[in-house]
Amino acid sequence: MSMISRIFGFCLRYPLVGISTLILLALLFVSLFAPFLWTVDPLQISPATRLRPPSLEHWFGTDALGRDIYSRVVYGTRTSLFIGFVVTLVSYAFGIAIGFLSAFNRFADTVLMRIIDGVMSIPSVLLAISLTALAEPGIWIVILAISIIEIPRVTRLVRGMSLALRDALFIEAAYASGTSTWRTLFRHILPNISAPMFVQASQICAQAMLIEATLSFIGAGVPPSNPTWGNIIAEGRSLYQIAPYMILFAAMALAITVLAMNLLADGLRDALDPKLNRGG
Amino acid sequence: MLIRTNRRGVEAILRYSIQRLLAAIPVVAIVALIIFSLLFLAPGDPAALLAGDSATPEMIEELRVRLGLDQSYFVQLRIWVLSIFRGDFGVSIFSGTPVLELVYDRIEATAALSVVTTVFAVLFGVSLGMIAAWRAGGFVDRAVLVLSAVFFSFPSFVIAYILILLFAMQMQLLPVQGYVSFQDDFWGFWVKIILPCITLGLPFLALLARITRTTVIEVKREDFVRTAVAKGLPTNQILMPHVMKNAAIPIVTMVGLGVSHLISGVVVVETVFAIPGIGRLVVEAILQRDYPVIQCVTLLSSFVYIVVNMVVDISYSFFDPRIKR
Amino acid sequence: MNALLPLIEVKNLKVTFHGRTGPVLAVDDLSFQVSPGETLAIVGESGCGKSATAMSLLRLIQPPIGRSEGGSILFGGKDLLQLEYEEMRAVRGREIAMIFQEPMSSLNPVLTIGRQLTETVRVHADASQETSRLRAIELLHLVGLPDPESQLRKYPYELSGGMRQRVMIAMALINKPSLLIADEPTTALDVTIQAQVLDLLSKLQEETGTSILLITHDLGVVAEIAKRVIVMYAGRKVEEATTIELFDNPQHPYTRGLMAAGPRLGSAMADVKKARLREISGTVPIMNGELVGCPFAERCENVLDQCRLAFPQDTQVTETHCVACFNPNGAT
Repeated sequence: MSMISRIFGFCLRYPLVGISTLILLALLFVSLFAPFLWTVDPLQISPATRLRPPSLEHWFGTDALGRDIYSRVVYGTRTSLFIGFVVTLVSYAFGIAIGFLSAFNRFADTVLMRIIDGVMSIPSVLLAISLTALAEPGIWIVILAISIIEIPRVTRLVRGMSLALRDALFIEAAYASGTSTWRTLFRHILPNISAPMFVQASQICAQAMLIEATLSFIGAGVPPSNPTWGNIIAEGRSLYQIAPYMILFAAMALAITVLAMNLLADGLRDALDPKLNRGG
Repeated sequence: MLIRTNRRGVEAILRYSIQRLLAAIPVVAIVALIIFSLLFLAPGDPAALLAGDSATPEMIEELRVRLGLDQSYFVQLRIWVLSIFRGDFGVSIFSGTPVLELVYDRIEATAALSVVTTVFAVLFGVSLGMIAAWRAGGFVDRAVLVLSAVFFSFPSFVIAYILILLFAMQMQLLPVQGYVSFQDDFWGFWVKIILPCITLGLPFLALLARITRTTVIEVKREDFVRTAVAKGLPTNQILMPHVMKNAAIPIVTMVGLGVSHLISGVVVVETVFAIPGIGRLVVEAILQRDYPVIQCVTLLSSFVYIVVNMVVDISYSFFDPRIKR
Repeated sequence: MNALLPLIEVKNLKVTFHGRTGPVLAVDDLSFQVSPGETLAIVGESGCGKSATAMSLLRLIQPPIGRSEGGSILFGGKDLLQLEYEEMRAVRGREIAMIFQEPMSSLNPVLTIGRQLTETVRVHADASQETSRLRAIELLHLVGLPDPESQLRKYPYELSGGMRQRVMIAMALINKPSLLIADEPTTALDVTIQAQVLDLLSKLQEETGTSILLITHDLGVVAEIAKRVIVMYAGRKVEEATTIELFDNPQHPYTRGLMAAGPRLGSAMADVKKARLREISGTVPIMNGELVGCPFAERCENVLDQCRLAFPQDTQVTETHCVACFNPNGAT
C-alpha cells in the first residue's frame, strides 16, 4: 500500500512523468488486449466497403482494400511497442557490454571507439536501409538495423560515465578490498549510472519507434502485410488527398506515443537527477 | 566586428585546420569499411535476394559475379576500394547506369532543399532559442520548450501531411508537391520548396532552439555578461558578440550533428513531396532492390556528414581563440 | 562640482533576493553618501550585503534574481532607481563604472582586449575606431601595461591575473566616470599584486578626481586607501566613521571583532576574540523578514534584552562617526 502511495506521490510531484507513464500504460493495455477492444481482423479485406470515411461501424474508416483502420491502428500498437522495447533491450545489452569493455581495457577502447565513431557518422535511416535492403523483409531485420544505430549511443554514455566513476573513491575502495572486476562493474558502477540510463532508454525507445515508422513508410521496414503505423501511413500515402483519415489516426497514435516517451525522458531527467538538468 | 588577427594567428588556424583534416581521414576509411562490410553482415544470400523472386539460378550466379560476391572478403574489399579511388561507385542493377551518374542527375534538388532548410532552421532555431533564453520563463520560452518536444517527437511525414492539409488543401496557398529547378523558374522554385523546407526544418529547428536556449542561459550567468551590462552596452551588443560568441560552440556542434537528421529526413520529405532528389533515388532503389545505389548514397552522405563536422570542428578556432594551438 | 554636495546619495536602500524559500533581505534600510573625489569603503563579511549594495547602484540586480525595493539613489539630481532602461544604460560605464572581483571571468574570454576597451568608448560617445583605439592605448599606458598597442590584440587568457585587473581598471576609467565602484578588486590576486593594484587605484584617483566606492572584507585594504568606512552586518549599516576614527576607536562589538580577526592587531587578546567570534555557530542569520532586533545579537558579547526587540537607531559618537548599537561599551 505504501509503495502505491509513494508512486502516486512521485507522479504528483513530477506531473510529466505521471502523465506520460499513464499514456504508455494505456498503450500497453491496448496492445495486450487488442482482440478484445471491439476490433475485427485487421487483415480482412472487404472490397464492398472500400475507402469509407469514419462512421459508427468503422470508427476510423476503411482503407483502399476495405480493411478496418481502427483495428489496424490498434494492432499496430503491438508492433510499434514491441520493436521499441526489444530495440531498447538489445541496444542496452550490447551497449553496456561494449561500454564496460572499452572503459576498462585500453586496447579494446581504441578499436571499439573508432568503430563507434564510424557507425555514428552514417546517417541513421540510410544505415538501416542498407541493412534491411539486404535481407528478406521482416520484423527481426528491422530490429537488428535499428539496434545497430542505437548501440553506439548507449556505449558512449556507459563508457563516459564508467570512466568518470572508475577513478571515484568508492570504486577504488571496492578494488582495494579485493572485489573482482565483474563484481565492481555490476554492483558498484551499474547502480550509479542507472539514472541517466533510464532517461536515455526512454529516448532510445522513442527513437526506435520513429525509425521503424520511417522505414515502413519508405518501404524498407516491416512487410506491408503486417499492420504497423508506418505501413498504414504508407498505404494512405497515394490517397491522402481524398482520404486523409487513412493517415490521420495512425499518425496521431505514433506522434502521441513518441511524444509520451520523450516527455517521460524529460520528466525522469528532472526527477532522478537534478544535476543532470543543468547541462541540458 | 573588429577582429585583427596577426600573422601568428593565421598560421595557427591553418595548422589547426590541417590537423582536423588529417583526423577526418581515418574516420572516412572506417565508415567506408563498415558500409562495405554490411554486405557480409546480412543474413541469407544477398545475390539471390537482390536478383528478385523471378530470377533463375543462372541469373543469380551472374549477379553474384557482377557484384564480386563470389570472391573472398579481402579480395572484394581491395577491388571495391580501388574502384572508388578511380571514381567508380558501382553500377545500378536496375538500369545499368553508373551510380555516380544517377546521383549527379539528382543532386541539385537535394542540395537546394538541404541548403535552404539549414539556413531556415539555423536562422529561426537560434533566434528563438536566444529570445527564449533572454526571457527565461516567459511566453516564448515556454512555447519553445513545448514546441521543441512536439516537433522532435513528430515523424517528418506526419508534419508533412499536417502542413499539406493546412496550407495546400485547406487554404490552397501552396502547391501540394513537386519541384522545379531555380534555374528554370525562380519564383516557382521558392513556392514549391517552402513546405518541404518547413517539414524538414522543424525538427532541426526544435533541436537548435533547445540547445541555444540552454547554452545562452548558461552563458548569461557568466561574470563577463555582468561586466558588459555594467559598461552600458545595449542588449543587442551584449547578445552579439558577447554572449553568442561564447555560446557558439555547442550550437555549431548541434548544427553538425543535426545534418545526420537532415539527411535521414531528406529521404522521407522527398518521397512525400515528390521531389526528384537523392532521397527519392534511394526509395526507388529500395523498391527495386538496387543495392549499389543504396550503398553509394549511404557512403556519399556519410562523407558529407564527416566533412560538415570537420568544418564545424575548424570553426571552433574562430569562435574561441584558446582552441587553436 | 560643488564639493559640499554629495556625488551620490543613497537613502533607505532595500534589496531583496528571491531565494528558494522566499525573499531574502540582502540590504535593509541603508543610507550613505559619497562626496566628489573621496574614497568610501564598505566592509563586512561575505553575505553582509555589501556587494548587493554595489550592484544595485548600477541596477545590476534584476528580477527574477532579486530587486531593489525601496529607497532612492540620488545621483546628479536623478534617482537611479526611477530611471528608464535607456537612461540607466547611459549612466552605466560612463558616469558610474565598476570593477569586479574576478578579473579572469569578468573579461570576455573570446574577445580581444582591444575590442572590449574600444566598445566601451564607442557605446557612449560618437567616436571613430581610431579615436577609441588611441584612447584605449592611452588608458592601458595609464594603468601601467607594457607595450599597450600589442596588448590590444591579445585575449584575456594571454595575460596574468594582475594584468587582467589592470585592464579591468582601464576599461572602467576609459570614459572618465565620476564614480568608480570597486567590488573586492584585489581579493583574487596575489598579495604583492594586491599592493600594486591598490597603489594604482589611489594614484589614478589623484590624477582623475574620481570618487571610489570600495567594497571589501579586508580591513588592511581599507586602511591603505579609504578615507571613510561603513561597516555592514547582515544587510544593515552598523557603524560609519572616518578610517582613522574607526581604527582608533571602534564602537560596535562587531567592528571590534572584525579588527581582532585581522592580522594587524596581532595581540594574544585579539586571537582569543577571533576564536570566540568564529566559534558561534550559524554565523550571519538569514534575513527572511522574520528577525526583529539586532541581527548581531546572537553573536554579541554585550547583548542586552532590548537588542532582541528592535534594531538600534544610529548614535552619533562624533560628527563623522555613528554607530547602531544599544550597548557599545559593554555595560550590563
